[in-house]
Amino acid sequence: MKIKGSADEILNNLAEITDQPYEKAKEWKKLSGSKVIGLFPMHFPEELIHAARILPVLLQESDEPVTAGHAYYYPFFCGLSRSVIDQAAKGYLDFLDGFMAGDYCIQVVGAGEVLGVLLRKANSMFFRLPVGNQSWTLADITQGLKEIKRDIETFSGEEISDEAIRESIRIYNMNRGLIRKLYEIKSLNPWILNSREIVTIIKSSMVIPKDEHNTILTSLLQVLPNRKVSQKEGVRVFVSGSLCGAPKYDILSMIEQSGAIVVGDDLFHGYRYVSTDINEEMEPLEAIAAHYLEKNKDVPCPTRCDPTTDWPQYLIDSMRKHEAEKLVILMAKYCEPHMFFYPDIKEALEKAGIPHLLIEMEHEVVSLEALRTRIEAFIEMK
Amino acid sequence: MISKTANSIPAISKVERAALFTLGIDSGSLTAKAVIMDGNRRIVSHSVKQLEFVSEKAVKIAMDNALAAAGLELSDMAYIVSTGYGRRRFSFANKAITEISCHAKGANYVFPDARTVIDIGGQDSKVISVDPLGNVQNFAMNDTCAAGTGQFLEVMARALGVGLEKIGELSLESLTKLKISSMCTVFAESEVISLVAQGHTKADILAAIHEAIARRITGLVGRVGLRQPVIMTGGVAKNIGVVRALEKELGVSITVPGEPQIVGALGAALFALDYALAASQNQNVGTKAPGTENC
Repeated sequence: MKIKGSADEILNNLAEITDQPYEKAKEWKKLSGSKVIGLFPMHFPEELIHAARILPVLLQESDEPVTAGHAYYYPFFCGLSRSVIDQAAKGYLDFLDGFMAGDYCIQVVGAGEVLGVLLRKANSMFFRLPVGNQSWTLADITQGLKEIKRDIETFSGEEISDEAIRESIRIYNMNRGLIRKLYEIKSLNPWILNSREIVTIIKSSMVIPKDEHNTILTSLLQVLPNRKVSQKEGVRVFVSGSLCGAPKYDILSMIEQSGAIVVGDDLFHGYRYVSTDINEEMEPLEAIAAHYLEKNKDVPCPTRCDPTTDWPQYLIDSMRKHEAEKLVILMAKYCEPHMFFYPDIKEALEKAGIPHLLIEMEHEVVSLEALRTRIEAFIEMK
Repeated sequence: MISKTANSIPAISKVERAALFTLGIDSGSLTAKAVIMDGNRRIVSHSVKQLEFVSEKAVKIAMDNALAAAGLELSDMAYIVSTGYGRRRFSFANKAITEISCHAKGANYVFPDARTVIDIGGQDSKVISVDPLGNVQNFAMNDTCAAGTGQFLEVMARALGVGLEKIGELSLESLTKLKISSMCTVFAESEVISLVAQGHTKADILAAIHEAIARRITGLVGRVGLRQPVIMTGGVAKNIGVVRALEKELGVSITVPGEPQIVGALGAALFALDYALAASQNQNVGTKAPGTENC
């Protein structure tokens, strides 16, 4: 199947999907009669859920101020977890048949418990993902995957075959590969997709069935090279961080309006989500477990606590690889894992002579004009 | 992009340079400033105007005053750079540059040795690390709250019934140390009212307010790193109480230029001169630089 339309039209359709990120899942549920599981971002095995013929949907931070959710969670927890709880408190997540929390971040642990209170009809699951990268870690993660596979099977009432998992891995790898192709095109012509469009593409991948997204991406890749865009010289900038939630579009647009070209990123709603494929030949659960270790080598995540990876050095290497002149770090306020590593990152960047701007993102309070001045001044710096 | 040698004056004659006028306008949150400069990097005139409801009007007044003092017309300006919060508003400006870059450049002009610029304006505060050419090396800016800026001081002065221009000197008469614990403008005002009710003197209360501001700015300085000498710009630099409190908190002496409010506009005029001279090198001597490059 092919999606008709120009690149602009396809991108506009994806933007409409992400504006109401759960509508497609609700539609799919009605048509298929199947179930939907909500996931927090970062490290959940979507492929396993997909193999059970359930739609995994990555829960998104909304633009709405946290109001009803205030009663259930601490104001000093990250915007994403507070926003998801607020959405649940307002009834926006009632369509979920189940949700999955995990132990990789303390805020996700707590948010999962609150969702258990707010979404009483939904099945609550918990994914145990051991951290580190020791000789026993692979086996330990595989064991965690066996446990969650058992829980998904109990929830769906059907056994998940190895063949089904392999097929899901193939579909998900295809999705990652297609998005990486977009990145390849963008690396040669950075104006072809702006960073807001990149985020939109990946965000839409997180909330609609992957095979449907693969069809859309295949069509987009065919028409994208014909897209007419104005090419304006600018300072080459790499954007890093925003490990869970999508950055506010306004901030991304400001970076580009200030005279910068975003030549690369490692955002979760960006390259981080698609950096690494899962091995299609290995025993499937072991392949997914190995993926957690492999993807951390490509784009490190602080929650993995992997002593074999060096986040500051990875950033310095990424800057060189993308021939970037400046680095913008987007840090969600109260994101402890990111905050914990930032002093080391700052020191390493200063030592390497790489100018960087740290933007702390809050869910509600963003003084956009002051932020614009900071971004423009950073780009003006020689 | 401005060339790295932009600070050196290109080889056109002194007479030609003298006839090359540039304008820097700084449309801040509370005041509008204008500086006119000639091609020999001399300030020809300047003007400061308190903003009214329509900020463009105040900018126009500041600009007209500066032009009148110089005996020039807007059409005489070879290049115009706007800065400040309203920097993108003015269609007659050739380019908009942030106040961070402009304060660094202006501070370098008035005090070339300065390595740290502390700029406290109407609604924001910035600490800027500058190199010997006046380029920004690093900076920090208040990002989530405007407490401790010019408007904060206006509210406090009003709560105490003291004219804004008098609070600096008055605070130096303080004899008893007090502490303002909240930096939220609303809560701090309540604290001030409460201290007044307890019978504390205005001088003591003002000194406590200035110390609270100094502590806040010290936090920003920490993010950038303190390098001496230090210069202070922006309207709040006219408040000797804040300057003294900052010197005490940071443990350094601070230079305050004669007209700290115009440093941003001065930097803008200097950037404009760089562009005008670059344009005149391209055989456009004395004519307006082509095109507008507003963001």
